[in-house]
Amino acid sequence: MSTERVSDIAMVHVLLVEPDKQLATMYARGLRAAGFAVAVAHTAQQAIHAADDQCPDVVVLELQMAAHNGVEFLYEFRSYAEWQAVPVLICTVVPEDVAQIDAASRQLLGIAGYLYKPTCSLAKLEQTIRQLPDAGDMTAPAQDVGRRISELDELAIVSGEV
Amino acid sequence: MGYDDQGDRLLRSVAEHLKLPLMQIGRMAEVGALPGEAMAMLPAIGLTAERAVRLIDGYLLGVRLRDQPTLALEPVTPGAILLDVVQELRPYARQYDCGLDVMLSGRQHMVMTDRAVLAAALSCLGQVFIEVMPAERAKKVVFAAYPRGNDALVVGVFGAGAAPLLGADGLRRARALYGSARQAFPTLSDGNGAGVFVADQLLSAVASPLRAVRHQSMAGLAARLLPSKQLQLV
Repeated sequence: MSTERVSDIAMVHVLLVEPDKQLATMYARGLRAAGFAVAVAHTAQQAIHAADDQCPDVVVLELQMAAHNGVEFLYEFRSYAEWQAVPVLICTVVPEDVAQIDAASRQLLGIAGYLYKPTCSLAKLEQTIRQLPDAGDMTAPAQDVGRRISELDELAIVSGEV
Repeated sequence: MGYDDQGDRLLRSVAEHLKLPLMQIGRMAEVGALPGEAMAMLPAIGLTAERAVRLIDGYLLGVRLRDQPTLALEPVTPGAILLDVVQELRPYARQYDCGLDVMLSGRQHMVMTDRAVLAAALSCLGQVFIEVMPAERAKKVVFAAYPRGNDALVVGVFGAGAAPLLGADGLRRARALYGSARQAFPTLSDGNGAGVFVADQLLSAVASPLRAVRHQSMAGLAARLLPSKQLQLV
């Protein structure tokens, strides 16, 4: 591994939004061991506060959370101009065919990837983060996001059918 | 709704919930492979596996009770069971930075119930509360028993942070949702709360279904147990 790549990885700040404390601890330990800086949030509100403290380079997001789910978090997160270009990697217990997030919504919300958590190892998560394209490639132009969010049809909510 | 429907729903709920401890064990094993982490992970893996097995055992006990013509009722001191369950759950609670407490108020009658059922129900219920208590509050789960009315003893699990989130309507909606919805308590838990419904099944088998109750500014889930009239005469 080249020095340049190690320094690049060390600069990546990950905001991990994971409601289960045990899983959050394990993912954070694994990512830190891989050289990422990690901030952990267990709720949508905590995640907004954490992003406010330090703007993340990437968000790893569980959709299924208490009170405010990951979709609601994502809407709020994208409403802030300074966070509109931050790539979000969904890592969730909700199967992709249940969440039903279409391609247009993915691009609008800057969803860089979708990982099914039960079968997502730490190594796979780490690899996926490293392979994320540049943040600027991920989302619609910042000035369009706020307007288009209001026009977006509702995404499938995670509390639907199993 | 026939039992088979309920049974299927509970089985689906338990099966879905079991993904969580298996994911946790998988990730703990990966972290354990990192330099210097193995010794820290092994106890955590063991605890997580034990909790998963206890949930399965609670579910299977409920299934067996359905087929039993009689129940093994006996005089039980709920306080002693609460203390045993707290002792059992304490290591798991530490993993979640959650404190546990036992609160015994008023006259503690002996009650006639199935000891194994009560212990398993409180264990499953306690596990759910430990996992879902809001992270931003001081996490404490209280196992309480207190008299209600002339005869009954209310025995249950409470959490100070759950006060605004759990009520009779929430429990009623959750009973309708479990097994089909991903979150039966969407404002309280990211999980499906399978442990609550396993406990509910167990306690319903001894004619003491769970109720949403409040006790000393805490919200919780509890069962109303009746004392033995014969014991009262002794």
